[in-house]
Amino acid sequence: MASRPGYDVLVVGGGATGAGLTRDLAMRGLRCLLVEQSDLAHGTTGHFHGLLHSGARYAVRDAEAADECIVENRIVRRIAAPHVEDTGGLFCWLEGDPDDYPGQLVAGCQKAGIEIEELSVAEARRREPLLTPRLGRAFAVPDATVEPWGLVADNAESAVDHGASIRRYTRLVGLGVEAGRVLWADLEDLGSGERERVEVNFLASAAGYWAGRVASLAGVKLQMAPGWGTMVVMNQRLSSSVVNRCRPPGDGDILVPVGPVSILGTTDTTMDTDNYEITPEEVRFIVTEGAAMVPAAAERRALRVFAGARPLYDPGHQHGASRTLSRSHMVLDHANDGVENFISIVGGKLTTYRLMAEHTADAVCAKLGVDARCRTAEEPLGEARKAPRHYSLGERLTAREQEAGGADADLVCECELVTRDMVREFIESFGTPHIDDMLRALRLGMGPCQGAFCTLRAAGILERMRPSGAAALEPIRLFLDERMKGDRPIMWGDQARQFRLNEIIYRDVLALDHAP
Amino acid sequence: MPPDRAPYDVVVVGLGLAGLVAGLGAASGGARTLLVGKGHGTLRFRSGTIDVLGYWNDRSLGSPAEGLPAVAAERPNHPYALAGEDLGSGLEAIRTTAGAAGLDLDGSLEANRMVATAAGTLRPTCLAPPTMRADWDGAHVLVVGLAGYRDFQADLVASVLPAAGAKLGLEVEARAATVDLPSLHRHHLSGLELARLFDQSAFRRDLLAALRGTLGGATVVALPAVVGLEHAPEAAADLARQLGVTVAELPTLPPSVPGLRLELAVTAALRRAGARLQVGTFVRAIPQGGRIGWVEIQSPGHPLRVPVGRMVLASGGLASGGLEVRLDGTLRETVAELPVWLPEAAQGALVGRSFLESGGHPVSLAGVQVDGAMRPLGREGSPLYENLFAAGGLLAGADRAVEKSADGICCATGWRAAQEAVA
Repeated sequence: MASRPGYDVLVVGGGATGAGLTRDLAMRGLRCLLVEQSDLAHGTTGHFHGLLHSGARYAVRDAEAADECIVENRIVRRIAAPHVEDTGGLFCWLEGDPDDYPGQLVAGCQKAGIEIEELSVAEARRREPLLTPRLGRAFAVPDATVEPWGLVADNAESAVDHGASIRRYTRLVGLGVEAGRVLWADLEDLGSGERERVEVNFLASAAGYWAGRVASLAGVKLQMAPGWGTMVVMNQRLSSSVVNRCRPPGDGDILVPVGPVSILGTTDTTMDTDNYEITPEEVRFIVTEGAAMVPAAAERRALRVFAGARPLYDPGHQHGASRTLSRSHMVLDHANDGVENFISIVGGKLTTYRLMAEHTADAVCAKLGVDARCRTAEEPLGEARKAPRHYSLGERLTAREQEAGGADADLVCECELVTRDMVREFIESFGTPHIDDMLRALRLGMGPCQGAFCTLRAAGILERMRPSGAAALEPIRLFLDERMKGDRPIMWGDQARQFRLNEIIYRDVLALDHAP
Repeated sequence: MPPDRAPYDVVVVGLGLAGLVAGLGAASGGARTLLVGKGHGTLRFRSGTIDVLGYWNDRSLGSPAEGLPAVAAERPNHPYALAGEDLGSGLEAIRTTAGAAGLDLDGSLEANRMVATAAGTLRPTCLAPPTMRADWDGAHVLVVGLAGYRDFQADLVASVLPAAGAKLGLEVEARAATVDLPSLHRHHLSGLELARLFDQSAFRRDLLAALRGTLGGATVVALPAVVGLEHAPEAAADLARQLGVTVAELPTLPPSVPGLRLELAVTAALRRAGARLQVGTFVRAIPQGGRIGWVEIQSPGHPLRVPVGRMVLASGGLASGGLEVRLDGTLRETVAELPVWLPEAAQGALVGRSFLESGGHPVSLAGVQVDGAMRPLGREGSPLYENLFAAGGLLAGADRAVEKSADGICCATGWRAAQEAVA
């Protein structure tokens, strides 16, 4: 096995926290390596509802979380402006909701310093015409939305600018622990299968709900209690601000406008698994609850469902609903478990990713005797340095359309404006991708037609560039099966109709069912 | 509520193949016929062939005739079990009507024929235009893509076709070529635009010039199924004659040009026979006592109420909008609110885990149950309305995509429903 000179810190996990931590440490002058077993922001970070919390959601029950959220909300708006849309948020009290909650909410927000203003019902309805007639009271708070892939990419880029190294599709497969210290790490390149041993001076795990598995490689027992939350993507924007139910937080009580779609969330099921299976029942529950706030949610088309795992830490090994476990983060120093130079960051939420990184980096620096202060709250990321403007709906579409040649473009995917050249360039740079990789990188097949047209076209371009002979239909089959996962729990209305049309095309007309 | 218009003898709801066949049956029987529908039928999404029965119980059938008795014996609510006797008449109605417009449909119930597709696969069908009836065994195929047309990927077809042939014991050689012509340099070139180009002899001349050098020893030139719209037979014959090869059309993504040719031929024949067609309006059937009293046609301004003598409901299945899945996973029939039968297997999950789930998805068997006279049945198993007959994709009991049976079911049940409606 090849060996290479060591790093000050090996960071495990390329979500928002890991990327933020790597940036923070690199800015303090430490040599860092970040390893991520998949693509950046592929785990929990890429599977959340997009809400940049004002903290109002926590103001009644968890004052500490509320305080953290409002401070970080303001920081993220500043340092990552282009990835934030200033939607604002509404808390909607409906007839029949607990009478005392609005008062508690206002008091909690005021205590945490979260701007909250009661709106007249007429004003709330003017802002959000689709709100239910059951609306009794409404409160405006500074919620916003944040686009996680861009946020993580900017953190990663900044980390690299400060000297860090980042490796994607690389898995930590072994740790060498001697005399209570981690000395080296074995890394496997998941593309080539090659393994490499790197020397490390310190190990920081930001692996989210995989933190337990990372810890076990060091012989440390760390019990995670992943809290799975299911979200439903609706085919259009149903509101222009984040809509929250004004009652104690529970399942199915948020509606988040994200770009051209809306996300309804969420549920909370504690289950230690990599493949959480979403049921039609929980999807129906979310849609029905969402429709209590915005009745149109029940009539519009659901486009996809997905689930993300909250990386909750279970010190007491309890099971059941994880909403009772703390959402606040914790920095765990594994010196207590007999490994001197190993820290894990667990819990938390995307809104406070930067603070989590700061607390972890503070702990790492204290242990390494590094005396440098955190600067991530002051220094803007990427585009925010030049143009501290928030994202607005339509901006990206316009840019994409101009880039793609507008009406003259040679489009492979009309729904998401993906051109033939974009597909070709991606194949050039990737090797032999799955069509699903094109979906993540280019958004090919993500739109309303669910791949009806672009799947055959993409497979044809792929076959032309990377001939595979009789196996040329395999990418189509794999992609159709992959789409099926996000489709199956939302088989109603237009989505069911589109599914059947796609089946007529691929099973009946193109006869893929008896293909070689 | 008083009706707005003078009555028709027969009102057909749905403009897909089943509705068109029912319309032919009614109009040719002398009935004053109205055909009305929300949109065009699924002919425009399909191959332009008439599939009758390609597979049964996952077994490939040499002919529809070979499988039909098993269908009737094993699946009593299958449309062929109920209306199989009218299959021949329904097919003949379409064949004669298409033939009168110069569109031949060759084949018989005694043989399935393998038609190549834009995925390079070979699929069984019963009746097909001459351009889809190439003999693949021993063929040297030049697969021709057209620059700018995205929905026919020649390389993919040429890669898969030999393997698809080998699976059936056929020896097929294939290679790909892409033709680039100035006339193809336009934006968003669709199958329909291409078909109109193929109608022009000037375009064909340019295409022939470009193809001659690349023919090699090819015996078959495979093109996307866009070879002409109004002058399709002439366009294909012209190319074949000048190249000295067989020209094969391969069905591809919607819109389907061969399906459109068929639809245009049948709708023209219906108009000639005195039927009235109304496209683009949603229809509701309103019961009155034990019959359908009138249909309410949504139109700008106010809904039109047209009294119904007899009604044929041919509004299609899930893809067509004749059936709809509710949020709670149950199904509804959208025009007359008829009860929808759902197989037991679909009550857990409507669809399987894999897109190409072997044996199909449970929901595909769902639909309206009818008796032998095509009258929709209530939950207790007796006919609901004395003057309502149903046909085509909304009928329960068949998975058309798995069986490759969609068109034959439309022909058989459309014809039977029309016979009952004019009786």
